[in-house]
Amino acid sequence: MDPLSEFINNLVSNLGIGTMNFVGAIVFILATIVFIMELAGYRPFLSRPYIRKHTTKWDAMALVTVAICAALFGGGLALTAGIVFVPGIAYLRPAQALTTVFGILFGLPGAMGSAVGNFIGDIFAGTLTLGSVAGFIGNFMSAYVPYRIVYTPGKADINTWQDVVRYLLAVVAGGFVIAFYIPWWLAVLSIIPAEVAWIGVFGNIWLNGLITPWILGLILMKLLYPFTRQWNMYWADHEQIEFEDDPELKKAEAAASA
Amino acid sequence: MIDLGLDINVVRAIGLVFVVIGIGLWAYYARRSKKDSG
Repeated sequence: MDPLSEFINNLVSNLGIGTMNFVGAIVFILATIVFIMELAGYRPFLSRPYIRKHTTKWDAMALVTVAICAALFGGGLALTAGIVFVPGIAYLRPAQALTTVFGILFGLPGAMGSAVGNFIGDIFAGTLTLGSVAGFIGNFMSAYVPYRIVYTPGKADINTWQDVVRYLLAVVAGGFVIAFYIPWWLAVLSIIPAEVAWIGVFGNIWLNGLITPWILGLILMKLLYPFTRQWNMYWADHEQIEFEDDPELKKAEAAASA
Repeated sequence: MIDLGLDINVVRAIGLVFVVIGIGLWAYYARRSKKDSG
């Protein structure tokens, strides 16, 4: 057995299927509540007031953004289908890097596009099952969590080491949610045996949710962020929200005062 | 499970079409959005 699979095998064996199911249940319930709240126009916060209305409007441009993200992610999944990562255990999903990037750049429409894109990928890859319901919300969350962590333009430009570390941690958090969300659903509905869900599927999703967004996602962020700002497609520009740490705003203020 | 039973190369070809549509849409709306903002 290769070292990666052995590590995940040991991790799950040490924690036990019961613990994995317990953590999975908590992640599933919380993530589903957040997903429903966001669809209803509300957002949870860690400070008072704990629930506020969010600023995303589902206008024509937001729907176009969903379509762009869905086409690119769904198409990317189909285009790179069947790349074996660990024989018999894991397939590599390079397109998984897109969910993090879409979430940070486009906000909620990017997260929704990732969810729809995964559904499209499942249809063409022949893996459309009841598990795809969890795939839908899980991929939404894998974009949404990094979006909430790398929330402002000053963080999303990834120009400092702190920004890089924040991005890498945001990917870990997003990967954690999707890696627990989908296997729990698969195990609870007995779509696959719990052992297979927590060793095979958990490891596969966890590795894909970390490795490709860490490497490919970081490169894409650096490449696409300036153009997204320039094209007025960054979520905060579209929703007309100004942040104090926005380098563009600071530049404009400096130019105005000069 | 719903399996369309497509050959892997057909799946990849469809994927490529979707990616091209996605990039095309992005380029079109990026141009339009840039124009709108002046």
